[in-house]
Amino acid sequence: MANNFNIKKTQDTLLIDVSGSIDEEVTLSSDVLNGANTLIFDFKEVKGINSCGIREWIKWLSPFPKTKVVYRHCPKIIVDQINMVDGFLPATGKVESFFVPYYSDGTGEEKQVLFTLGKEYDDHGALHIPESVVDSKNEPMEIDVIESKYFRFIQKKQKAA
Amino acid sequence: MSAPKLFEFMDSFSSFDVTEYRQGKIIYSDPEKTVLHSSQWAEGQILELATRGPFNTFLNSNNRNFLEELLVALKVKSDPEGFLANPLLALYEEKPKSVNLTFSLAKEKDLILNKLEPFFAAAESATISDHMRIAFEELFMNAVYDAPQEAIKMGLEKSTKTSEIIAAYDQHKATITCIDAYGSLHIPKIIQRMRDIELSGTKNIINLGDKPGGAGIGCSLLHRYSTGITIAVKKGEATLVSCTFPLRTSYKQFCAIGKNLQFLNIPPTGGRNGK
Repeated sequence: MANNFNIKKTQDTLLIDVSGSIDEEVTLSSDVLNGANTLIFDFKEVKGINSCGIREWIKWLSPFPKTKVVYRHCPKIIVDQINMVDGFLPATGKVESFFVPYYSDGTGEEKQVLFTLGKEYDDHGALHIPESVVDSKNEPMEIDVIESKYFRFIQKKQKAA
Repeated sequence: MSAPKLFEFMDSFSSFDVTEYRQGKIIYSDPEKTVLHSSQWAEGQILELATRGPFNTFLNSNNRNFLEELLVALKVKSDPEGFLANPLLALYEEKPKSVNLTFSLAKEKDLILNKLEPFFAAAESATISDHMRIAFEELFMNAVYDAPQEAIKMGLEKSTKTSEIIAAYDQHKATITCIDAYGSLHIPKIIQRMRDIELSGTKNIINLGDKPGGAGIGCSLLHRYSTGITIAVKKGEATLVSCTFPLRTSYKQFCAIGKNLQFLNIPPTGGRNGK
């Protein structure tokens, strides 16, 4: 699947919508980033990722250690890489929002719930997990991640600070 | 699996040792004919044992399809050539729904991905579908980029060869299998890398060099996102990597299933080369 970057510029900020797959075809020019103080990546439409894409991503962002990087709407496959691969989220990076999968044992339904910085979690490593996620039968759904692993990046940022 | 069927298959594999792993107390005659199993493997322990040797087949007996997976492991061990020629015969008891797609160039990926989408959807779980997609991404990239590069490094053939992706599922599981005709995968290196990443993370492993190809963490992605990996390598002729996924499973259930791992080197014969 070809990856796609839709880039919008506002003053010194670049808003980059990423879609498709972050893979070996990823074509990221560092020229695009020159002069930007803030890079906001929106991952809402990302469908896949592979190890080569991860490598290219890290290499692409590494020449800009002082640029503020923001990740928005991260699906689970992106959160996994943030937690597991050093450098996937740069040291200056911040996750503004990410999706948390929920699962209903009763119906087998799945739901992606968006956690947003300042609401469901904060810069101090605290989590405020919403209580009322329900399935179509109004039965409570459970968070479908290993919490100690999935939310690691929130605590990690706090430790680093 | 029914009891009569179980007895029938255990009978046909009586020359193999199916041995429960207990720390320091493994009784076996021939590691090639031994299947180690346990319901107590700690995270990463299988990779640690695989790195240490001499065993090559590790099954989690807390896996809800343990007997089925044991049968798969024994079929693979008893007929590695047959497994390479037709992996679905070993991977499934009955004929699964399947698709067999050949490719040789990177630009063919989108087409293949489109044909695989119904197989990803068969997982009936968005999480597991994502896992299958990642496994495909990794296997495809390995076949198109890494395998030919490794073949050149090893002094094997330089020409571009055709590879296959075989996706399949039945009522219990799905599999994504990739077979390339290079046979350049170095099993000990891959197992060691999977083990190192599992125990120490990616920091000292990831390859950020300028060479094209993988970052050295692809094997870890396969391990992380599947419940079982089977690898068979016939040097210079074929590499087969097959990943297994559960169906209708939440991520927490997926994590509780436990991993299986099997790998084997098959002596070269000149069979599949040049396909």
